[in-house]
Amino acid sequence: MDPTEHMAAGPRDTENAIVTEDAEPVVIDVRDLVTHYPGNAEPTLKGVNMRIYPNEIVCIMGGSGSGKSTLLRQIMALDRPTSGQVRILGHDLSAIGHRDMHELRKKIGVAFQGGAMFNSMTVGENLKLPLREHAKLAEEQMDIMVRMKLAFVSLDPETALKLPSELSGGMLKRAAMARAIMMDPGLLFCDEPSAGLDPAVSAALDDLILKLRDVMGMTIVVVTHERASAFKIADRIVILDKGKILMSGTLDELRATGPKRVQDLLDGVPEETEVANWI
Amino acid sequence: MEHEVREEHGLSIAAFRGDIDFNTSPEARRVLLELVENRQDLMVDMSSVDYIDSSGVASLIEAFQSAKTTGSRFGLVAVSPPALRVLQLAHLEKVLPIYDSVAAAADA
Repeated sequence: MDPTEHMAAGPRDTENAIVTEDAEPVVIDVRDLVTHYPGNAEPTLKGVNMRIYPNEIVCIMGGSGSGKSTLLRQIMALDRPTSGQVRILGHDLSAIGHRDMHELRKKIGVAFQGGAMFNSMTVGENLKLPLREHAKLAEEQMDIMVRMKLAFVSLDPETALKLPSELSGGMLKRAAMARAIMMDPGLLFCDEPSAGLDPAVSAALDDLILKLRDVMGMTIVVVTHERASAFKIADRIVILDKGKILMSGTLDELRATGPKRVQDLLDGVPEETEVANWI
Repeated sequence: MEHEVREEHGLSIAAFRGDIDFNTSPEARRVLLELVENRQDLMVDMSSVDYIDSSGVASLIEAFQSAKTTGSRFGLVAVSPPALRVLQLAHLEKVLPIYDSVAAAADA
């Protein structure tokens, strides 16, 4: 039996997320994760432990080279770890079979930073791809869903008829978000969702992320360096630094008890070495 | 998802129970479009809908658009709070006629 079958198949997945030995439901469980890319002197991730719980918005923050994008790739199952374990909705990603992975992917939406759209297809056809892969809906139903999701991210319905190459960077980013939520996933990953967007659109996207959690019950993981956005949407912030989790907690907790490096990262103050690199 | 169709106050009532989601929305869509295509004034009783996803919402919108084309009435009655929140997410409460009860829909 598919171990996630009892967890439902939609945004409410997380109501029934895996229950760990400490009786807390967990959506993502990362244990002792080490990623060491060949040719690199040091591992990019050096033993990361992290749990993400149902209906949480967790923002992963850190400076350049902190390992946050690598961590996101690991928990999206795009890379295999050197050692350690990642479990999503009860599945150990290192041991998951193709069929279970296909089922798991139905429940996960990913908004890639660069859009990751097929340039040979219209935006609308790109948005329909997950529906065609995972659902059996009428064309008319899918057309309405495309327009609805484009409206969610403040894009005109006509955007569906355009090619990705005709969109600006900001529009492409929003279209990627629309595609990520086409299947109303229980778990949503966003890589720098508001970077490069104008403040009004960025604020609208933040509001959408909050509503997706509140109304659709999604669990959402956001990698971002946009501090204002993270402070607005995050239930919990995970600060990653040099491949390790420096601290994890609410903004208030980080502000109250975080060491100087955490405060610097929250304030956007660069490390001395970062400054030394360019002077 | 279960459904029943009944006549009340001169209206066709399609009452759905349970979840209208990716698995069940094609059936909900078939039921709604069939009623609308018969030019019946249709109200969808959503009092027992526990959950509706985007595909279910799309089915409602398609039936609403089809009813406008055929000139028949279409609306939602007694929308359950979880379903209403999803409709509000898409701002559809501003577009789709929503009534507290079948009687209220009949009087409107």
